[in-house]
Amino acid sequence: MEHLLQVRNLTIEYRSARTEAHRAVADVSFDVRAGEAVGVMGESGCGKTSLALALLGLHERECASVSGIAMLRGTNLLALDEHELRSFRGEKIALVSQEPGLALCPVRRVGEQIAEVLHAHSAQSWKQCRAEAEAWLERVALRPAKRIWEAYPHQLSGGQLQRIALAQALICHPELLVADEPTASLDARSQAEFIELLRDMKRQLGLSVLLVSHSPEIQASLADRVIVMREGRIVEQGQFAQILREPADPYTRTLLSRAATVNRHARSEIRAEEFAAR
Amino acid sequence: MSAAGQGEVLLRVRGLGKSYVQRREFTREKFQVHAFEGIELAVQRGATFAIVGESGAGKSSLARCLALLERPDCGEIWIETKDVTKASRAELFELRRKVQLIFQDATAALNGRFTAAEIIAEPMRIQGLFGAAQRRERAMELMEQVGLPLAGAKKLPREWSGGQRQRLAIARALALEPSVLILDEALANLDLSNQEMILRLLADLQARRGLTYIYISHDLRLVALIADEIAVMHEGRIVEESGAAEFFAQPRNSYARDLIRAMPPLETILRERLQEEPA
Amino acid sequence: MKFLARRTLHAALLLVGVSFFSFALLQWAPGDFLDELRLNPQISKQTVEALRGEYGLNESLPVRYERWLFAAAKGDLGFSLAYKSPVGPLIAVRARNTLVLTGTAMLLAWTLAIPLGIWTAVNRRGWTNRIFGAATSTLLTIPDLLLFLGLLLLAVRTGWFPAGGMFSDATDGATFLSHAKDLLAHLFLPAAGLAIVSLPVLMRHVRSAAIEVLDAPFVRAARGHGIPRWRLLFRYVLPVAANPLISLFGFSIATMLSASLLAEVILSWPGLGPLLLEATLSRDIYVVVATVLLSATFLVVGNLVSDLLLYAADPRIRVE
Repeated sequence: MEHLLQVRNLTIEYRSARTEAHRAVADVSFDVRAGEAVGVMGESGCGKTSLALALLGLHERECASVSGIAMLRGTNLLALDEHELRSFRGEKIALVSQEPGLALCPVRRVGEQIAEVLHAHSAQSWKQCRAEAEAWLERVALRPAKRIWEAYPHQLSGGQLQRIALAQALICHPELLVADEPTASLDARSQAEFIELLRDMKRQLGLSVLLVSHSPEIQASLADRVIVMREGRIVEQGQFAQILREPADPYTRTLLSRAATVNRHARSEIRAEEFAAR
Repeated sequence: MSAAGQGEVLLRVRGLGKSYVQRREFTREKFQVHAFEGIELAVQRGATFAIVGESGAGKSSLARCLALLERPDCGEIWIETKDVTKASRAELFELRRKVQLIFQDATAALNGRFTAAEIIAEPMRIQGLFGAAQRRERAMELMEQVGLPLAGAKKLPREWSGGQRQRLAIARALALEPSVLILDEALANLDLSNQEMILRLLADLQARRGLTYIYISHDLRLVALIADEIAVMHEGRIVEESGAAEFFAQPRNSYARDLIRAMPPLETILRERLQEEPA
Repeated sequence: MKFLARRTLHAALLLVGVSFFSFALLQWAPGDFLDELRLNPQISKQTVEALRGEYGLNESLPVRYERWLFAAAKGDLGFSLAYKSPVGPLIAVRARNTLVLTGTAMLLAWTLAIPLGIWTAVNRRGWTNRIFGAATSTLLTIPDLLLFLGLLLLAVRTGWFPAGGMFSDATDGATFLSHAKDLLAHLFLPAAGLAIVSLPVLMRHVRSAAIEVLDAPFVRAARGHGIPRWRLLFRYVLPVAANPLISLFGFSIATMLSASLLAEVILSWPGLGPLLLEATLSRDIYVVVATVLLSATFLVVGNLVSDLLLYAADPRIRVE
């Protein structure tokens, strides 16, 4: 399989007048193949969110200096200026972030906001974009689509809003979806539903996903390969089953320690499994 | 997890209910929001009792009522042999020593202008216990117990990490030697490794001091690790309550079942995944 | 509509309160209208006393206020002692003039403040930022009085603008167009002055409202979707930034009215300002109360309008 995304020597440094320069990401290199889901795991502050934002060029030039290469089908994303980036964002690479409630404009209808993304990247009329947006609401299982279309963000739940964010991200059929802790603000059921939806979309669209999440369970549900980051560096990478079952690096082990603890309580766990199988 | 036998009931709740009156922002019309109603609970001494539910289910309002920060509209809360809902202000002041609350956001819960030692000493000062020197001594002892370096006694909260701040909050809560500690999503903002550390600390403290914990959480996996008893809240009511093992093995309520099904343990997920994709 | 009813009631109560206070303050201030006359040795004390009785100036406050209130409710705002004519028509003309001035100044000020504020917000990390900051600070520190006097000086020295008044004499019979041109020439200085005086504060508020929105996560998310810059500004940023600005609009009416008093007095614009000043100095009580009441009404209506605009603009306020 060919490589969709090739990241080499990515380094991100935050500068500010008051504090010293802080290296959020240091010399990170990895690949993402077409149709593959790569998980990025690590504690907060390890640089995973900075990494995600850098791929979309969303760091303010005055605050962060980004160096290295991120080749998306032959173009270095990190070398593009704001104008050039606009044709990539949403169209070839898209982002879903952590807090769905904050990712939408509070005074506009959600359906409009999905249509806006399509409108920005295609020559279709506004009417066609509206219809397409409504079709996407159906695809992400938000029904009744017409009523949801007209709703405002504050009228919907976190789970619904995150699905709308997904519709926005996928409506132009990008090849790579970057998901930055997409389930962290959702409750248990919405989390499970969202991951299921994401898996579905990945299968249907042949989507590649870069999934940033500190939760081993979320990574296990979706990732094909996992990258473990610590303090801006990659400490381990490999097939998800390998990493999650037998982590080679001691740091990865501490990261998964709670998951390991769950395994110790085999008794209650087995019963839950039996039940889940029913 | 402690070995909680069929001990005495330390905290009992009967028919507790609370609703809030809110005003619409523009038209100033009033409307009622029912936080919770008909709550019945019995928490045994030394046990870990978990209240699970989605956000907005009324768990935090319940936590505040149990911590004596708010008065419920109806019902009774019995702590040991006293009905707290009928207590006078003076009695409440004393009773607060028995129940302490630890919040989700440690940063917001600590006074940013106090040093660590001052933060821990504050409850003692408010209750008029001991002298200044003794308070400081006890503060240092507590810092040691929660695993914070003594050299940091003069540090401000912002100089600590998230996990350390939560430990500071725990030390503060222990200052008055409470019987019950209510943890309202106290681990939600922490990394997994930090969570692990704090869980170990809490287990240790429970073993040494015989504390009773009430965990409020939306994270079933966390609850699976530590709880003796689990109660599920849904839209302001308790829909299921049972011992932990029983809960995971045979949940009776459909909402509880859905919750469990939504959070399978890691091994299960891995197994399912590997079965699906042989490549 | 219950909302409107409640607001109207509040407004009415407010206006009654305002009228009472201005009435009372003027009454309690030492002296009354006829004091000037008293100083004149040619007029006998008895005449003054008789006049006082005739004008009703020797009765107690509650009595006088009550009488005024009932009359005002019927639309009769009293009698001007200085002009010897009913107050109503007297202030109507002045009120119109003040509205023309204040309205134009508001339009000017906001039309400048919004683009400038947004521009400085968008470029907040550049070097132009400092220049604008310095400029607004400088403008803020110049006292209004000085600014208006300066404009007056400009008019007198250069002759580019008329130095006062609203119309030139002998304009009857002229065409509507030349009439309008004449008005504009007279209007320019006071309106520009008022706009300049309010501009720094408005600009700063627009800027901070815009910055708050520009730094919001949803703007970054929209950028992440590839929404082009101008569309982002007009369809995402402005609608949200409008919220605090609409509230500000209500407040700015109040400050503008206060400043207009100064502008009108110095630049001789025949509005409520000079009338109020004159009437206060000569204790022409009914004029004062009526003028203050009118200003208060402008304020209340302005705030009501801005609240309604807010309701229309922000769906979060409109609960289902």
